Amino acid sequence: MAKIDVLLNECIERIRRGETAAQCLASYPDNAAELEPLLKTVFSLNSISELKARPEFRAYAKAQVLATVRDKAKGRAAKRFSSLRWTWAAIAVSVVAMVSAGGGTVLASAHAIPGDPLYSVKRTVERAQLAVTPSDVGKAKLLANFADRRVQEIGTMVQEGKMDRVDRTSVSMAKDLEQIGNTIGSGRSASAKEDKNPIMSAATSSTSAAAAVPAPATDATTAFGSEGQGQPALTAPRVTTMTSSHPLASSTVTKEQKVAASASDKSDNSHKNDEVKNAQNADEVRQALLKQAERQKQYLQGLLEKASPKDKAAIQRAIDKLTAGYDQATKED
Amino acid sequence: MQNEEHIVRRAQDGDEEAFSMLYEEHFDKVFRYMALRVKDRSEAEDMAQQVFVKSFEALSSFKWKGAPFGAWLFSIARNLVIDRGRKAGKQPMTSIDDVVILSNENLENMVETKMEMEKVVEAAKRLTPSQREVVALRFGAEMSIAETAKIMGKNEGAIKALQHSAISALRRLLVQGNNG
Repeated sequence: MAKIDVLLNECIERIRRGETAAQCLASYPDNAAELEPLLKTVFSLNSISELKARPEFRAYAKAQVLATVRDKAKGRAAKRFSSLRWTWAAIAVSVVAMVSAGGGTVLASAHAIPGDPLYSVKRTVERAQLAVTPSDVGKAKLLANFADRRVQEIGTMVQEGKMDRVDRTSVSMAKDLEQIGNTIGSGRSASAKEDKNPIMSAATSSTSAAAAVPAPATDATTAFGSEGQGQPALTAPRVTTMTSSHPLASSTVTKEQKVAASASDKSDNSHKNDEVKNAQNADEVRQALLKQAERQKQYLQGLLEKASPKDKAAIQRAIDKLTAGYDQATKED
Repeated sequence: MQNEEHIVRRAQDGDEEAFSMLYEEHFDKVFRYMALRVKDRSEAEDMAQQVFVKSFEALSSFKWKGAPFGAWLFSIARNLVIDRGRKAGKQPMTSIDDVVILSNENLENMVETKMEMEKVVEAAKRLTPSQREVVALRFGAEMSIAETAKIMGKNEGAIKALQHSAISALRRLLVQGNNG
């Protein structure tokens, strides 16, 4: 074994115990010249210790893992699922239960945007939906829906002047679109062609129920309870419509449309893209995506035209990522 | 952590508090290991959760023969990554934009730390699989040489040599990156 291997490792252990690089180098003067640049890299590597998962995910995953433990102890559940994705099926079932019981948190999260307290709930629900969707076409349709939501979130952030997370949301949108390409397009891997882990019928039916989750709360007090009852004072949910007055259906937003969009609305408020929703196979999904892409580009172009100079760059980047993402999503084999 | 052997045995007897303690002790390291091995934050979180699900389901098969629980846990983690196959190995690793930094430092230091991490994660993509594995285990999971050797199925001398070659290669890549 080369001596430098041993000395380097010794220094790594000493640095781990809190010593400085200088102290290590002083111990090995004959090898200091060779060791010094390596120890600089060791300190760079130590920056990895700052990597952490999201606190909410950490807590949520713990609850799910401990639920496994309990179920196993009772001799149930874990063996019912043939896939390691059972945890997400459980989440989807929980979402359905929460919706059925009138739970407001999931509903209220439907129109959260990056930075809102419930945004992580929204994204968690999306991942659960994806995990329990067995078919590639189903996944592609879900991902198209998620990309649509990202565009809506960008629109809301622009309208509310919250530009700091537009770029991140654009990246998420691009990833969703890229993943469509990986499921039904030329980018898909062999294993993505079919889901080899059939999901229980309960989870499958929960998918369609969970897909309806994004219908927004129509009444802030219903979602959060009225203040004074010990409920946290959260931001009221944004109630937007997907009717013909919705910004996504039109490239211009009149004042009347904005007012209508912000008012409570008991009509169909789900963020459904009917063309994508009705697609039956990969080709139909691609055709629907082309129309969705055009509509979203027009919407973002409308925002770009009205934006202040300082906001234009971020919106243009969103348009560029949207264009590239849809090119990838609609590329055939 | 209290005597880990005692806690593992309590967990094997179904003690939920013991499971909770094992999770709290090891989750961050498992996540960091996955963040250096798989595509993005979502996948790293998913995989980290799967490590614990799998390990807790199989806990009854763990035999305390002097090897620490962490080494067994990361064997499971490593096997999960291998099972993911080419998709995990060749896909870009964690996007730094997805990473949460929890720090009490001021904003400027946080930005510097994030930039440093970004450079390291980018450079680590270009290491060989074995070099990336040793970096993930030694610096992500903070495993000892002995534990890393056991997980990778090599002797300690080989691990030290691999560690040296990984750090040397990483240094060259970081210097190239700084020179543009």
